[in-house]
Amino acid sequence: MITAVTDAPLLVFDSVVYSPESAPLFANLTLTVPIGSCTVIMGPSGAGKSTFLRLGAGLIPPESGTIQYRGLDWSDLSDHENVVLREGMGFVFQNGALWANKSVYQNIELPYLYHRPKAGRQEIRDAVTRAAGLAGIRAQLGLRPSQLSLGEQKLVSLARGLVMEPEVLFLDDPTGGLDAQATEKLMELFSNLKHEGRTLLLVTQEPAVTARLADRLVLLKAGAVLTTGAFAEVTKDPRPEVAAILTSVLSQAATFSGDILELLSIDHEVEDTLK
Amino acid sequence: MIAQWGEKAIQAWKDAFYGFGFFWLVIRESLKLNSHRGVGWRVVVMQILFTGVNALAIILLIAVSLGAVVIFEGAQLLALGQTDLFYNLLVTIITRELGPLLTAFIIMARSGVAIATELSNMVISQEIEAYMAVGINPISYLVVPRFLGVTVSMMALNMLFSVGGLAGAWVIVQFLQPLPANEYFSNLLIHLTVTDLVASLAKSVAFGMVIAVVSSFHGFQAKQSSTEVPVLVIKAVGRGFALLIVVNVIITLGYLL
Repeated sequence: MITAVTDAPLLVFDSVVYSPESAPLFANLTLTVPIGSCTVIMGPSGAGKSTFLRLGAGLIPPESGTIQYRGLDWSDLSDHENVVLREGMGFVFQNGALWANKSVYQNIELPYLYHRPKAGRQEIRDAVTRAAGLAGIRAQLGLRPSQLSLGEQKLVSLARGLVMEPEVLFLDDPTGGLDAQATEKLMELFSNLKHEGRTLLLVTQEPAVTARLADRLVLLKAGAVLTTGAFAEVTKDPRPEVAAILTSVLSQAATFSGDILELLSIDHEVEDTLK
Repeated sequence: MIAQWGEKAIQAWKDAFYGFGFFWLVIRESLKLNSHRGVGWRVVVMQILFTGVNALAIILLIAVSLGAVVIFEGAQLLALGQTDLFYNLLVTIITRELGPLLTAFIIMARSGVAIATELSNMVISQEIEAYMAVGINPISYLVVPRFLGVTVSMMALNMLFSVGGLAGAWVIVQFLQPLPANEYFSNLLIHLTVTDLVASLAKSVAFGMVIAVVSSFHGFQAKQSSTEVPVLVIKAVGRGFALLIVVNVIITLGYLL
């Protein structure tokens, strides 16, 4: 029986070192991400945001240090514990990472088939259709991944991540490459998931997404945590390097003398105008 | 120069150690196939279809051709009264030595290449991570079905090679140098011992395992770029062929001793 600590933080990185040959990244990462909120990870390209997400989801092991997910160390899990934990989490990949030899339907269906081996055909169909509907890709269910645009592939990846109705969602740039309408729809979906009490860990470069969803921010730069905390606190951080990252990430060309919340609220207004 | 050799030796030792660990994992997961929630068997069937059924024609062609040449050339021994030598030669070449090895080479070239290419592409496109993300163990879902499919296909094709090489080839040879069926098959059964069949079967099982594990192992070595794929496939084929020959020698020595 799995012994996940229910009130434990979502993630605890303790002295994590990860330096693949091609790109040395985390030298000594120590960080706690709480459960039950939307944490947005930001930073310039190459800061290690996607790697952070993959480490946190236990998809790649650190070279040293430990990563706990809900109180359990990824490296100590039994096969059974791993399967049970994964049933409660969804992961949306930056490039979709769809299984090329399966149709869109089969891509979404497989996690359900695996975790609910005794499910009837109708139950599976209902689960797939529901997840596809949430991601807005019902019309593409019969297609192959190679027939989809990158944006659509991300939406399929999202549907695959949602099919088990997970408590925790790891989202790697889910709105990148999507049009404004699809982005807005996804933000609404994520907002609803948040209000249902699900935990979102989100990597994004888009100010509108951050402004709408973030409860907490983690700012990364060159494999180090520059700052982390509640959204309002981080954006008020006076340190120039924080301001510089937020400025560049949020693609704000203007000087960064004011409150970032004001800048972000301007984005809201721009969005409203666009609508 | 010496330092480079040393580094290469250390790396080769590490690879071998890691490879044995991988082999052990595959064996362990294979024993648990029934508990893999029913999704693995479909891949086993598909692998048998690709490795076994789709290779039938090429295996039969090679078996019959090789058998016909051996029977045709060896039949001269019959004229010299060397009946035992002729039939022993046939069984040794077709059933025990060349049959399993040639079949393994063909499967390595077809299925080994396909497995290494497919898996390395899946690593690069993060499909393997996607399996892990939903809780599916890539070894049990991707490698075990290929391992079982290739091993079963290798056993079946090896048997087919023997039948094709001994019986099919006899039919062809009738057009050139008639050999009475009664005499040929009864002599063949006398000289074909259980030990020969066991050695042939042991080779086919071992070769199937080697092909599946070596190609999967190299497929999983991919990291980021599609340019790694051909390099890894070449490595898989080269090392696969070398290992097949080594395993063949070990089993043959075991048989002879």
